[in-house]
Amino acid sequence: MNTRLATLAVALLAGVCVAAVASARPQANAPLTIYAAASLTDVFRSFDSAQNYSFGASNALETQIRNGAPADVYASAAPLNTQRLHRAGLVEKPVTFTANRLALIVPRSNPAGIRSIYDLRSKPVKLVVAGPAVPVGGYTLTVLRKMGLSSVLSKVVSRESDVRAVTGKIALGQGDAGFVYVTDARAVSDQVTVVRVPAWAQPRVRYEIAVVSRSSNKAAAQAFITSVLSARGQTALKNAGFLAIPKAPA
Amino acid sequence: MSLPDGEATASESAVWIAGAFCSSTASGVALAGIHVRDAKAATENDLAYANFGLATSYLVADFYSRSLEAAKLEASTRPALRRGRAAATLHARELTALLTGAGDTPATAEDFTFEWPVPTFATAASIRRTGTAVLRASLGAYQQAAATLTEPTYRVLFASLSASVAQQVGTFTTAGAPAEPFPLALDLETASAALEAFLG
Amino acid sequence: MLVVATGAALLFLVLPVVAIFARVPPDELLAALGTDAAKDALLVTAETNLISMILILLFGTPAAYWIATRTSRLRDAVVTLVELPLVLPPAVAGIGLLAAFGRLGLLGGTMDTLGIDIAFTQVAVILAVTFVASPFYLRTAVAAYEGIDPTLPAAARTLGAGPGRVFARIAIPLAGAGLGAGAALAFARGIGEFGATIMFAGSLQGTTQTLSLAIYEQFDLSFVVALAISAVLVAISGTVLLSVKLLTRWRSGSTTPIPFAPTTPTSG
Repeated sequence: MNTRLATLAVALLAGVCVAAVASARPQANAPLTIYAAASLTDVFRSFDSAQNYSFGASNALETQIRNGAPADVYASAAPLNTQRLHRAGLVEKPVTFTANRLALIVPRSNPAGIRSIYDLRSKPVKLVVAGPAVPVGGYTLTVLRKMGLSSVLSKVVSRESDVRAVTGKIALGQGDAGFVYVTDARAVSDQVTVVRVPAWAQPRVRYEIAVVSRSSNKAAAQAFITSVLSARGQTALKNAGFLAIPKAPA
Repeated sequence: MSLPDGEATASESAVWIAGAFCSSTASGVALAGIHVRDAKAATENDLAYANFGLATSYLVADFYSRSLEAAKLEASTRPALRRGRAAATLHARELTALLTGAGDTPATAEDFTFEWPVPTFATAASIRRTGTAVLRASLGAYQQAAATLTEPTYRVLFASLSASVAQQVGTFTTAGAPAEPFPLALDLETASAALEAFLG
Repeated sequence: MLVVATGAALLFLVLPVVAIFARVPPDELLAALGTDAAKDALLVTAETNLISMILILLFGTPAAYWIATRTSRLRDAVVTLVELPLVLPPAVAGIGLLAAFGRLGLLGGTMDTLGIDIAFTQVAVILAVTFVASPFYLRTAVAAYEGIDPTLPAAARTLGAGPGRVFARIAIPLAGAGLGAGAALAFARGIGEFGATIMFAGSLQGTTQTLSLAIYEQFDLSFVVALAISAVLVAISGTVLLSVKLLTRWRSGSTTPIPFAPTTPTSG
């Protein structure tokens, strides 16, 4: 019986060692771990379903990467987060890969009767926004400031942790109005009505993507980024409602 | 459309005078701009008009460019169109300086993709109509700003912009059309809604 | 080898808790507790959980007694039902609350007509907390009632006490320790609630942002504040655990047939 136990133990140990070695070596076709902004959920999944995704608020993902999360690629909805990680040496040089616009959404039933952004000022409304550290939350503050409507923030009833939570609350009719990206509004177009944010008040929304420095699969990570920047990737983004990579200002 | 000789000369001179006025207004604005850049007491509402004005100036400049390209209006209007475009560009520059001085991040021309309906530049009549509508909406907003903003130097600037735009309206109205006795001031909500089809 | 295994397990379980207090100096933790975010979270949690506990005790005490005194098979079904929220993941609890009480939920229309609007209010937080915490109380309370020596209530009945009096004057005092332990468990579960609250009530500092929600927001804003709030929760949870232990020990002596007799139990 002792020899049987010993054999079992050796076999187990050997198996563990092989598995460890196998996982440590980067494999050409192993799926990448991609940390991406919540608004990219549908478009990234349909663009490349073979990868492992973790979608969430860009700032929460930034904190996770800072604390050692095993990501290979990081895609953020605001340059602030990627640039901060780049300055800390945690990601390689980020590159802009798409842009977006903000929209105000209201539930289909429109309980507060909001037909324009200015109605937020004049009518009682349960306004749902993302927290200020979340990219879309910061962009919302910019929109309201550019329109001279920051007083509307007194009607906020909840500061959500990411844009999908805002979309969810409005789609379920819990809130009367919420600020999201136009791309998120498309995903729930049957449950919400879109109120346009005028172009002159839109913030400069830039999505950036970068290879994570401690990735063990950098070649594949870079290949993923290249495919996102390629014609196929850009078409997928455009079809989902994202904007083309903006030209740099003169 | 052909006019009898006497009136043709009169309208030509009118265009020259308008052009001269535009350039002097522009330089006047540039002078006013030096003061505007120092103004820090502006409220959020003040800056909202500036943001709107900036986008509108890019819109107007784009409109002039496309009108010139389309070449549907009389050749005699081309100098006025060019001067209008120059004025709009200077307005944009001035408002950019104002916004930067107030700590905001102003938009640039590349941030906008203007959506002109397809038949806009197809005929002279359509160009006149659209030009008048766009300029009147921006004029309305500038008038409102000139009357109601809290920061005095901003009011001076917007009064200048109003005067410049009012003169540009003349480019697109036909010679026989009467001048509006009291052009309406428009609050930002109304002006923004009026330009939504073009500005986006 | 047993010592090594125990040591490893202890270290693994204790280290995160110790780290909360040891990561930054105590004066920084105390300073962080003074921030508005921490103070507001403390107030919101205190208010909502107090009301929630009152509701749980008010409805749960008689309900658990009713369940404990049934003998039919119905009793088992009812017990499983009230224990259901225990095994529901908090996110599922949140979805369920939305599906029932949300504006587009089953009762949404009725509440609208009655003019009741609970979206994003403290009422929503109270509902969420009560939903996830009440099974803890009910389960422990039922067990506490069942632990009462049946001869005692029976004796009270033969002496002429009605069912209400038996409940109030006999059952509750005898089960008291168990009820207390259950309340403590429910309270601990309630103040830690996160998933159902954030889904059903949203998160707004000063209104609906409880301690757990505040930790989540502060986690990438100010790690020190997150640590400070966590420390508060650890302290409260520790106190709860201690009181449960003490109450349970007290309870084991309170339902013997002759409470004031010497320690050797007599049958009967």
